Amino acid sequence: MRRYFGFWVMAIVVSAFLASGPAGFAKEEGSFVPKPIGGEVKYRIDKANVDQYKDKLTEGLIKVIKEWGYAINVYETVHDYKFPEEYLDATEKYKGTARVNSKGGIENYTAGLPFPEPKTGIEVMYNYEYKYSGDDFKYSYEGQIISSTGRERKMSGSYTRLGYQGRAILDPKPAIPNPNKVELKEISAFTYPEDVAGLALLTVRYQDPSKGDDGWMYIPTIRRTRRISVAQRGDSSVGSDFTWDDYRGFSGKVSDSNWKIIGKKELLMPYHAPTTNPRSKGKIFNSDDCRFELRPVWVVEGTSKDKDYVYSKRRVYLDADSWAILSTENWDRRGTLWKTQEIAFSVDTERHNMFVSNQIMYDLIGKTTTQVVNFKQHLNLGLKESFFTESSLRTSGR
Amino acid sequence: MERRRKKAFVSIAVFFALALWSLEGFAYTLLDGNFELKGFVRNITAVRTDDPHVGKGLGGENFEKGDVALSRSFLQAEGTYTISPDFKFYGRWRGSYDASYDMNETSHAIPKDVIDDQRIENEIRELYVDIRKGPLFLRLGKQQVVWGESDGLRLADIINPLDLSWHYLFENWEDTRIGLPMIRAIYAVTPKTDLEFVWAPVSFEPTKFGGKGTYWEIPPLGKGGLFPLPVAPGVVLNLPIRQGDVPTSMKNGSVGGKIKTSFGSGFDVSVYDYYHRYELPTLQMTPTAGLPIFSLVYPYVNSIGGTFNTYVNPIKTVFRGEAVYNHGEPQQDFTKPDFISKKDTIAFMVGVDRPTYLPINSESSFLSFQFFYKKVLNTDPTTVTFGDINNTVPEQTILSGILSTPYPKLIPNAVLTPSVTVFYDTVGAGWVRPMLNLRYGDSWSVTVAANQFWGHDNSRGFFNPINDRSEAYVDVKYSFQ
Repeated sequence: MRRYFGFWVMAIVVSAFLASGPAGFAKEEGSFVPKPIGGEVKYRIDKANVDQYKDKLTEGLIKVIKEWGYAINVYETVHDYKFPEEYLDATEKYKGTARVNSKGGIENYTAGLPFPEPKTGIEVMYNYEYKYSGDDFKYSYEGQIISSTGRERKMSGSYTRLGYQGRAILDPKPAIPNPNKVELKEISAFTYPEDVAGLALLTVRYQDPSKGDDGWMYIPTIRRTRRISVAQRGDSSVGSDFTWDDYRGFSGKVSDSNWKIIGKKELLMPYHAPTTNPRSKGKIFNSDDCRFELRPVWVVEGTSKDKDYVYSKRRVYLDADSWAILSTENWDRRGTLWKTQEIAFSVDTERHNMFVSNQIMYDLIGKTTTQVVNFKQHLNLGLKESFFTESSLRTSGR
Repeated sequence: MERRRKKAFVSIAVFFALALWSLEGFAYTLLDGNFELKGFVRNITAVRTDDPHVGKGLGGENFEKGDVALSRSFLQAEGTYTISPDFKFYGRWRGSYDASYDMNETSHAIPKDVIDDQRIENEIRELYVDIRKGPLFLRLGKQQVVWGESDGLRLADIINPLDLSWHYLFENWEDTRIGLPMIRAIYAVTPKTDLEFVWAPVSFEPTKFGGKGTYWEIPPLGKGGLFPLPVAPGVVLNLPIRQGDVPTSMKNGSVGGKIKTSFGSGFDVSVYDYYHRYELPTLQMTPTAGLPIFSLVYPYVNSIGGTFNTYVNPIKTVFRGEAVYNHGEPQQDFTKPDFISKKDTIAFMVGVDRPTYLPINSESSFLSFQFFYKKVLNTDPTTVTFGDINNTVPEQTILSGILSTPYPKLIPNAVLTPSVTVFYDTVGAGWVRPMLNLRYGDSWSVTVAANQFWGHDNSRGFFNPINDRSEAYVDVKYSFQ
């Protein structure tokens, strides 16, 4: 017994430490803290009256209200977002120079909004791609994946991005010199659940549309970085309802799809999120923690050039003020409306940025949802290229 | 024995009760969120599914088909203390208890010191500090360092030895690599190029094998191993083999360096040199005035190699590979006075990975293949070898493949992942592992799998000596973080 005494002492001590509850999340100094803009509810739309407003609602949102018990509170429309002066100056300076080539890539883009008066769907999507969102940014997120039976699985992680082109605020402007014509680099790191905790994915996206993304993943259980193919962007991200292309509305490569403009409309969209942490009400958010406004939006449809892609069609709704994607709908390969997403932004009027406060993806067929809230959001940190390297992945893990 | 079995079951129950007491959904944090503690409790139980090949010198002969080969329960905790983004501490402790030693009738044939060594584990597996200063990264302390591009093969992944004493190679190697006190430094010369230096100044640990009489033994290696010395016609004397402990000393350290860079927009290469003791044992005979002394020794080897990886977009495929030249790799040679000769060897691996959509799943499946070849240079055909654990075969060719396909929506609140892994040695031996893993909720993982081997008795290669060790197992894990 004495021989095993040390083992049992350690086991008891460790177990005692582990018998604890959550410590919560600390607000990081300097991170964006949204301020609710207030206002009164003008009217509420629920299952009883949704048909009255169907011309102001997306098809996906109508289904969620009718079939999931969701209700939306509509507020006064507030137009308080404005690009920073440096970005507006760049837009004016380089107006008319950018163009889309035959492969769907963008050429001669330097900085600012590439197509102030877009004529085609792909030009609208490049406005989304190069809208102002900081020359670099990072945030942490938490989410829950809610099954058809209402059980929850949690997920959490962080996302960091460095833009190489279209830099308006940080030097070097307007672009980081790079002979390989990188468009951006991003790191997605996962902290929960345990089977993905410690995974970190580095993706390098190139300006050349024929050049696929490069990816490296640090995998803690093998203690090394593995070169990976990030081509299968239609796969589920960590088992959630989001694919790798679904984050923030669309996180894929614009040139990998054909896009067409459906129109410009006024529709009810999530905007000015009242809270960064809306309460869950089963598979949906509590309506009192959401805010909808009648917003002018561009409606664009995309079809992937990859015949194996998971969606037959994707429809995105882009805010006419900021070019951010406020909502999406996705059809499966049989042409059935499969998913719809709401992205609730908070407006940072000081730094002229649209921060994603929360996102929710509804699987209308599988009856599951994934709810994600973002926090510790930082902009224009002056991140270095050296952070976005395979070496950095290797040394950040255990 | 009945009392011992009761004791075993009580111990397992107490162990799980202890772990379940710590059941909570979140990491324990304190010090303003700078210290995070998480861990898991796990049990893996394996049952032998083959009859032993008695008298073939393969080991595990006392274990019959249906015997419990392994019933190991783990409690692991890992903690990270972050003082700043450039300064943090990490530690990992694991305790485990293998109840099979108290459950099997065959345990009476195992020497007591072997059971004591293998039944209970109480170990700080890693404990180090990370320091960052500009382009320089330092990791100091007991750690694992992994180089290379291979899955399931060790060409460049030679810095830390493995513990093969309780489930051979069939665990995540993170859980069987033996941590060593080391200094690791990485200097980023440019965003694309870095230099790495690794120095284990004083400690050497060999690969750990299962002790004599255990299910996992590979005779005559491991604690309690015996060398059958023929002393007269029909008369064999079994002499103990000394474990050849290598003392902690600056004379027994290992050191090496690596340069890694990237060409163009994504062709990554590295070259390295690592001077180290060979972690696999070689039997040495030392004559004396009386009976000779047999020891397991670990001579120095210089390993020079390189790796590459790249992604070819038009075919959406990753290519990776590595090659190594080992100068002075010890070979078992009974024609030599001390039974050892040193040869040079070359080995290389080429692998391809491609996520692919298959008709069986709307999510992409992971497909991976590897080709491995190793050759002993300047082979002497008169060499008489003994066992092949130190790969004294003159040539070795292994093909491997992995197919893994996740189903995140098949079962509510769970991800189901079937997979199959195959390794084939062209001498006519190999291993296949079908596996089904279910991740339920945030914390539960259940795996049902089988390790099926095939091969020939009294033949060379890696899988032949264990060709009768097939097993089926269940692995249950609960994580708290």
